[in-house]
Amino acid sequence: MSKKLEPQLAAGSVYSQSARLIFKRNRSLLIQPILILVILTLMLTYIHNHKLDIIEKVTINPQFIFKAIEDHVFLSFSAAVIILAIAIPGGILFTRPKMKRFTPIALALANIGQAFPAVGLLILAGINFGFGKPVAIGTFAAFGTLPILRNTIVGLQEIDPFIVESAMGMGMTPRQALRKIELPLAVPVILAGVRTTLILTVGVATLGVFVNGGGLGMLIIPGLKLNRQIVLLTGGMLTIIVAFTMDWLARLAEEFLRPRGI
Amino acid sequence: MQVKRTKVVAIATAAALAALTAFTAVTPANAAASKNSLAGVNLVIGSKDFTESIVLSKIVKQYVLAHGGKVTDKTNIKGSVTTRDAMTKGQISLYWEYTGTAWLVYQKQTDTTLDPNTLYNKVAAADKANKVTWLPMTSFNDTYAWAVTKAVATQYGVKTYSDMVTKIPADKRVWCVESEFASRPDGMAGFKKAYNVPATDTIKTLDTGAIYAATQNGQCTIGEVFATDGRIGALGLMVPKEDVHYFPAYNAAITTTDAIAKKYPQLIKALAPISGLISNQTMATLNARIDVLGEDGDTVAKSWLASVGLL
Repeated sequence: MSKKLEPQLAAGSVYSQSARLIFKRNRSLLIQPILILVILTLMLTYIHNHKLDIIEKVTINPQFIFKAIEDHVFLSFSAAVIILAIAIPGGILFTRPKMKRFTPIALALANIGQAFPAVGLLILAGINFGFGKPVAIGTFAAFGTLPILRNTIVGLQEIDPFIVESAMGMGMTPRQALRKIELPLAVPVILAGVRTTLILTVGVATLGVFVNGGGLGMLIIPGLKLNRQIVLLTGGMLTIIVAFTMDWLARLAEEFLRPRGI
Repeated sequence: MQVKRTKVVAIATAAALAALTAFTAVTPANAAASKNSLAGVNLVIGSKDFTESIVLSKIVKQYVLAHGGKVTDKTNIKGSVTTRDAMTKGQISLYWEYTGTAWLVYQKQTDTTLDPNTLYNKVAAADKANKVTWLPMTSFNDTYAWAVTKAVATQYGVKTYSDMVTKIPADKRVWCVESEFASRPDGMAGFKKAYNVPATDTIKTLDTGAIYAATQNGQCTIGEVFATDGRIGALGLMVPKEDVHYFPAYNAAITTTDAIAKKYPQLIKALAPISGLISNQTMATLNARIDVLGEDGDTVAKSWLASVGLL
């Protein structure tokens, strides 16, 4: 049982609290919104300089695009909330001494969820439970649970058992030890998982178009099929922008929630 | 492990090649002398990645093989644009293209009101600039169509597309379309105008393949389908009559490069009559044999060729 799982760390995450690194991190926190604005400007310039034909006009118009973005954010955000609600408590549960032996089963289930071909799972679920946003969100949630579940388990497992033991020795109950010692120490790894999942979910949400879920797939798929590059690229770039924005917000949260002085 | 797998693949490929060579070598020997009319023809046949495109190309493949030619099967290429590029770049010799697709997607035209013959003539003429030769088109027209279940058709007395709008009650009218159809000018937006579909109707965007099942199980009342799809009949769906001309024509035709057409004039002459023999009904039956009954494309192609006396 000494085999350790590798934590999934999102690029750019820094866990040390040294002054130099905090500076670096804060600078990259500024760079990200600038990058988002650059992509947005590039995209708008590209659209502005392109003479839209009748097919492109159906999708490249503010009303259609804002609806697609709105649906996309709704789909990925709802899925992310469900994932957080399942995976973090799940991860905590599966590291408690009594439940430890079920950890491999839980991880196997989460692995299956992620390994399942997303489009197939979506359409199967749609045919059986009805096409629409609920089915899309449920499927995306099944798809994105793994990274957070794994990182929560790994984050808690990696804590030196002596620290927990000494906490108990000082008279803490297991619950207190979890809240005051284990969770704060595991937060960086857990949050890295959260960010991985957010980005993954924003990407997968482009498949919502196959089950009446809407989203930016409404631009990407027709753009591909009708050979209209501008439609495809607009959908793709907007997906990147949404992913970057959600990731940036999560990084802010990470900064905010990161325990100081540990 | 890696080495082993490569070896297995190599052996399998060798075996397949041997089988192919044996097959091509045996066929002319077994065939009568008159069946050697395509000896010396060597083709790479491609197709798009859906049943109809594949089975049409298999028909050409089996025909050429049966008449003494050689064929490399490169059917099932992902996407229309990729397939077309493969041909114009000479990686494949020919494949079946649809008039409507060439017009709208490759030539980026937007007028979709043309009748099948005019459209074919315009597309074929325009493609001369791209050094692409169009053989005669099929009599079948695999255009967009609407399907309802037979139960719905009987219950509300739906016989035409107009009936769908006027006879099915508004709260029951759930239209299911594919995202591509939702965003093209000859798709949903234009149809709504042509048939006065109220803006309040529910429209769901689904995957193409899912629409058939969703229409059958009642999640959609009216599903956007392809006119020659085998699943229409198999799932108990029916296509009402198009009483106001709206959908563009999607007749299929063999397209090839000018180079191939010049190199094998006997081939072009021999293939030309095939398309005229394939009606909507024939095409739907061939598609259904593969999609519904699970038969193999080559088998279906061969048996059809035999049934029309072309083998």
